[in-house]
Amino acid sequence: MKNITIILSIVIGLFAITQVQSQNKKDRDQFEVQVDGLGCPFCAYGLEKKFKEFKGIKDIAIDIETGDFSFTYPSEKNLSMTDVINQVIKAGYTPNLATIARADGTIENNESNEDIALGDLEEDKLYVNGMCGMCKARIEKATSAVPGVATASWNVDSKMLTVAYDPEITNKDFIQKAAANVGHDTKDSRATDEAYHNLHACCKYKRD
Amino acid sequence: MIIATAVVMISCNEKEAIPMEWQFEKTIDLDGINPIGIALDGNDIFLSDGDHNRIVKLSDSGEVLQMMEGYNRPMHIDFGEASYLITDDGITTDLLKERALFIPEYGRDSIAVMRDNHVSYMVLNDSLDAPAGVSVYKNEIAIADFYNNRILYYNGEAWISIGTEGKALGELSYPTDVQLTSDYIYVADAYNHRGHVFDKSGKAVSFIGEDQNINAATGLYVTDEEILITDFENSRILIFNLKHKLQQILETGIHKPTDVIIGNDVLYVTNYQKGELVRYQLKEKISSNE
Repeated sequence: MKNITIILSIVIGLFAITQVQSQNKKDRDQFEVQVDGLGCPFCAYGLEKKFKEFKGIKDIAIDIETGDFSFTYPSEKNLSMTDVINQVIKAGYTPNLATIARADGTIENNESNEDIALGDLEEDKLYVNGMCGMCKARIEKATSAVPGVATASWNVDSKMLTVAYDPEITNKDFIQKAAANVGHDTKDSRATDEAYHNLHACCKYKRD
Repeated sequence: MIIATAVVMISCNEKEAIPMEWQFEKTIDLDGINPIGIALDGNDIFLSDGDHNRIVKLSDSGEVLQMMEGYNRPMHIDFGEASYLITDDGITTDLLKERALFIPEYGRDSIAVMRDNHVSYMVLNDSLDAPAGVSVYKNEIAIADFYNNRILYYNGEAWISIGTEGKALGELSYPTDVQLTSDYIYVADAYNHRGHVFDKSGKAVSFIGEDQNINAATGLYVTDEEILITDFENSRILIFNLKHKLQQILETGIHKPTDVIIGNDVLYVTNYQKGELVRYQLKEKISSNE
């Protein structure tokens, strides 16, 4: 009889813990952001640190290899996608796909549905100054977002951006300006001092 | 008898110093450990595993002896024997020069002090923002205060703040590692991509390796003869003499290194991303003709 009482007490205790955990999950939104260029631990932990400014953040997980960054946040605070994306950028990183699984079951993401039909593509190589994997992510994200650009790939050693684009829609000047807008000097377009200053520490290349 | 002694003396004096260099020995796979900092204690190797919030103790052959969990992003660690105030659960005591492992916790803005697996924290009146490295020399302590772009230096009596953000002499860009020697404070000035030397009054003395195209100088170690700097993005270790002249570049087996140390005639490099420990040995220099 005594043993049965003990077993029952344990089962009830475990049930209560599970209920509390389940309730906690229901009260929290789950955020997942894919961040490019988390090659250096000092930078990656900096991203984590920057997000700790959001009081109430929990369950932070960061995978430096894949760039997967996730956390939970109290649902009543209704942290928006824009807040999350801005915080990633403020920390000096380039956000890719971000998903929010709200406590009420709704799912949000930042995927864009804008697709432009491209004609015959032209390929060019453009000089873009930068330093590291984080620069690569930022340069490729900015230049591939230019309407008319099909692909953009930057080489960290040669500093050359290989870009395929529809010349009927865009041109080399627009593409170079897009890189300069996010802080990276090109042959024909120089970033503003402010844009350069806003680069993450490890991305601050020597300016020509 | 006198002549015989002189011959030996002459022959000793004439004996040429054999040129030596560090040569790759082997890579040890750390199986899930991503080492950032390294410190040695006798034959034991201590690694900070920032990704997994722990300190790992290894044998000199790389066998895991102990895992110590619960550190918040531990970085460049160091053993030392300072006399300094530490606190544990609200009780403040003096370390009294007991040998301890000093662990900068980047995510907790604190310096943990571990003795016999017991953890206390240094009492600091100044606030840190992501401490990335610590060095203890006799009763002196230096901390690389990453986001504050400075070194906090305790000279045994008082703390002084060294460096401000910038690129000029005396200015730092996200220091990640620091080492005290008898006369100087050596800094891995990470995103100025160089080493930086200060005297103990805080006056900047010189740069190291500014012309070597380093890309992220993340770690540093200084011996009586050499200064070693990790070049993270270029996967190299650069070795300079104490006059800051480049002596050797190590590349074999090195991938995204974060720290380097020499002990027991072995040079160890932590390959952060691949989770490896690389060993080099000091051997007679291989002639370029061979």
